[in-house]
Amino acid sequence: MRTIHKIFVSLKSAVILIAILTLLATLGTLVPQNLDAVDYLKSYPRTGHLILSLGFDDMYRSAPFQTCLWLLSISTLACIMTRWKNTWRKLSARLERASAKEIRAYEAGHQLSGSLIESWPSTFANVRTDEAGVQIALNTSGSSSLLGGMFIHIGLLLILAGGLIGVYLGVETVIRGSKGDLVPVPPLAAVRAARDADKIARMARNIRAFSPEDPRLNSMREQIESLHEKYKEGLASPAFRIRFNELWIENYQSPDGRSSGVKSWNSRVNFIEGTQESDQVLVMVNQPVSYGDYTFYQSSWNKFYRKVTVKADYVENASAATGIVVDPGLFPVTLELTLKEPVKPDWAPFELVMVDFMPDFRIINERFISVSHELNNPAAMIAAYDEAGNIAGRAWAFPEDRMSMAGHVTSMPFRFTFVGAEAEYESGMQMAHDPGKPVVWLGCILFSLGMIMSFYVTYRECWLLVYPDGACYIAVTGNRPARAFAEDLAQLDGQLTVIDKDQSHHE
Amino acid sequence: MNETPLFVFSMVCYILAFVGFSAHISLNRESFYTPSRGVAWAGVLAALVALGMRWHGAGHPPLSNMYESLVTLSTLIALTGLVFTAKQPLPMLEAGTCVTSILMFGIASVFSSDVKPLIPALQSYWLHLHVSLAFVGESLFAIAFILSYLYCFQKIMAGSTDNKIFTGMLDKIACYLVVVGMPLAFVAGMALLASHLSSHPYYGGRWSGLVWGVIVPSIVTMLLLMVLTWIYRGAVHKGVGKWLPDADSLDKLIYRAIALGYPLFTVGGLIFGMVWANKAWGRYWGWDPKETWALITFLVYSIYLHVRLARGWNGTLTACLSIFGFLVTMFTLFGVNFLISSLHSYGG
Repeated sequence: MRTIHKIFVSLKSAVILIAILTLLATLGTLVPQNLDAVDYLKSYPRTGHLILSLGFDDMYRSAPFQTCLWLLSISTLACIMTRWKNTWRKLSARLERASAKEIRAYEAGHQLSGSLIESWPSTFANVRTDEAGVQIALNTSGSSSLLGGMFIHIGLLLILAGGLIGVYLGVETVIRGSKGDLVPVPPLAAVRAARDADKIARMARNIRAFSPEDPRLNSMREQIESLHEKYKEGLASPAFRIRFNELWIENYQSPDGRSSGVKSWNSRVNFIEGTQESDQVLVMVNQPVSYGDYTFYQSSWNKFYRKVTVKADYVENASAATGIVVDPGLFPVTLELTLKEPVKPDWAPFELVMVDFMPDFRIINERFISVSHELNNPAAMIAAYDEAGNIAGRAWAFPEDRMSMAGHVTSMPFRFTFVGAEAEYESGMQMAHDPGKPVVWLGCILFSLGMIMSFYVTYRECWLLVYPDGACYIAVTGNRPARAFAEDLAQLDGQLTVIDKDQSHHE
Repeated sequence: MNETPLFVFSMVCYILAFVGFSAHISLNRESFYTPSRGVAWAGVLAALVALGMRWHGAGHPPLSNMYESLVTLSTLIALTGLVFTAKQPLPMLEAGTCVTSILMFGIASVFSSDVKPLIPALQSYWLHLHVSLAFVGESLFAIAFILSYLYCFQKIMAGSTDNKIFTGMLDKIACYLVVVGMPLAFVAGMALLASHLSSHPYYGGRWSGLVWGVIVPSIVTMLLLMVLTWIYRGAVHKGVGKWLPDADSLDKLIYRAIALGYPLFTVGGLIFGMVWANKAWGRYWGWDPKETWALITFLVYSIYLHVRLARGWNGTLTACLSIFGFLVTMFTLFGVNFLISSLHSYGG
C-alpha cells in the first residue's frame, strides 16, 4: 500500500503519465478516428490489427487513454494531499520552523548596513527567540501565492472529474427540422440508450470484421435491439417537442449587391411540453438556448428543394417507338412535382415520380453529384411507372439552355425542361446534455486563479536576525529568483537602519 | 487605405534592427544598441498601426485566417521581445525576435491577404479573447525558444575552450542538435510547406514565393552566419560572453518567459477556447485535432514546469524541452491547418 502511495505521490510518475497522455493524444490526431474496422485493415495492413485491438480507432474512449486519465486523477489527488500538508505548514507555522542557519543561507541576504532602529519589533508581524538567543523576526506578503499550486491541482482534478462525468452521463445529438415541423425530443434515458446502441453497434462491426461467427455478436444484437426499443419508446412519449417556426439565412452583401458568403443562420422555435407552449425563442450561432435537460445550439443548416416545376413537351419519335398515343395539341404543359411523390397527369398514360433533384450537378466519375445548394446547374430525375408498377421510362430535366443533353437520357415520349424550384431550409441543431459541465467550469476557474496566484503573485518572506551580541542579519526570499528581491532587500535595509542625521545632512 | 506599405516598412525596420543588433554584438559597439532598439520599436509601431487599420477596415480583429494570424503573431513576437528586454538589454534575443518576425511575415506573404467576412462561428467576442490571449502566450513561448537556442549556442561557444562545460556526451549532442538542427528543421519544414502548397491548385504559384522569399534567403543567411561565426569565432566567443548572461541566468530567463506565457496560453488558448466551443458547438471539448494539439502544447509546457520547479532540473534538458514546446506550438498553430482536417480549418 505504501509503495502504491509512493508511486502516485511521486512527481516522476506524474511526469511519465503526462508524457504518455501526450503521446496517446498525438496518436489520436494522426490515426483517423471512428472508421470501420475494414478501413483500418485496408489503410494500415501492418498495424491495423494493433490499432483495433488497442482501441486506438476511438483513442479518447480507449482503455489505455481512459486508464491514463484515471491514473492522472489519482496522482493529482495524491499531489493535492501532499501539497496541502506542506502549504499548511508554511502558512501556519513558518516562523516556528525556521532556523537562523536556514535564513543565512538565502541568496538575497546580508548584514544590516547600519545600526538597528529601536522600534524594529513593531515593523514585524511575528518575532520569536530561538534556543541560542537569536531573535528571529518575519514579515510575509503574497501568501495567497502559496495556495496557487493547490488551486491548480484541485482545478485540474475537477476538470478531469467533470470530463469523466460527461463521458459517462452526457449525451450529444443533432435534430433537424424545416419550417412547420414538430420534432419530438426524447427523454434523456432514451437518448442515452441510442448513444449506447451506437457504441455497441460499432463494436459489433469491428468484431464481425475479425470473426463473423463470434458468439458475442448475438448478445450484442439483442442489446442493440432492446436499446433501440427504448429509444423508440422515448420518441413515442417525448420529454417535449420543438416546433420549427422559421429558419433564415443572412448573407454578406458585396458593394455591387451580390451575396458574398453566409453571415449567419438563425431559427425561431417553440418548445411544447404537454399542453404548455413556451414563448417563441431565437437560436443563433454562438447563442444557444436551454430547455428541459438539454441545450440547443444552432450548428448547421441545409437548403433543399422539395417542389420543382418542369415543362413537358411531346416527343413524336419516342412516342412512335413506345406506341403510346397522346394528344400533341396539349403540349407544352407545366407540371409541379414534389420529391418522391407520384403524380398522375391527365395527359400521360403513367405515373410520374421525381426521384432525385440536384440543384448544382456535376458529372464526376460518370455519376451525377450535386456540388452546392444553389440553383446553378439544376437537374431533376423523373421516373415513369406503368399501371403494374413497372418502370416505363426515365428522363432528366435540365434548364432550357442545357436541354441538348436531355436527348441522351430520355426514354419517354416526353421531354422535360426545368422551369423553377422552391427552396426550403432545414435547421440543424446540436442538442446536448452534460452534467459534468458545471464541475468543469468550476475547475477552470480554480485552475486560472491558481495560475494567477502561482505565477503572477510574488510571495515574500522578509527576515531579520538579531544576535545576542547585537549583530543583525537581513534576508528576503520567496517564489522568485534571488535577484528579483534585491530591491526589497535594500528597502528592508533602509527601513531597519537608524538614519545618521549628520550623514544625511551632509548628503 | 492599404496597410501593406506599413507592413513592408515594419519588415525593413526589423531587418535594419537585426543588422544593428548584429553589428552591436560583433563589432562590440555600444552606440549601436539604442538606435537598433529604436528602429525595432518603429517597426513594431508601424505593424501595430497596420493591424489597427486592417481591423478597422475589416470590422473584425486580424485573427481570422492564416495571413492575419502570422502577421499578428509576428508583430506580437517583436513587441514581446522589446518589452521583455526593457529592463535587461539582451541584444542577441532582440536580434532573434527580429529574425523570427521577419520569417513569419515572409511566410504570411505566401497566403492571401484579402479581407474576407467572418464565418458565423467566428462572430463572437470570444475570438478576440481566445486568439489574442493565446497569441500573447505563444509569443512568450517564442521568446523562451530563442533564449533556449541561445543557451545551447552559448554552451557550444564556451565548450569550444572548456569541454567541462558539458555534463556529458548527451548534453553536447543535444546542444549541437539544437544549434545546427533547428535551422535545418526550419528549412525542411518550409520545404514541406512549399511542396504542400504546390500540390494544391488553390494556392496557385505561391509556393515559389515561399522558396524565393523565405527558403533561399534563409539558407543564404544561415550559411553566411555559419561561415562568419567560424571565421570570427574568437570575436563571437567574446561577444557571447559579453552580451549574453551566464548560463544560470539564461536558464532563469527561459523559465520566466514560460512562466509568463503558460498561464496566458492556458487561459486564452484552452479555457477561453473551451467556453467558446461550448457556445458555438454545444460542447466544450470534442477532441478536434486543433483542440488536441493545444492540449499537447499545454502538456509539454506542464512537463517543463514540473521537472524544473519540483525536480529542480535545469540546463540543456529544460532548454530542449522549451524548444520542443515551441515546435509543438507552431505545429498546433499552422501544421494542424495544413496536415490534419479540423473544425478549426478556416484558420488556414
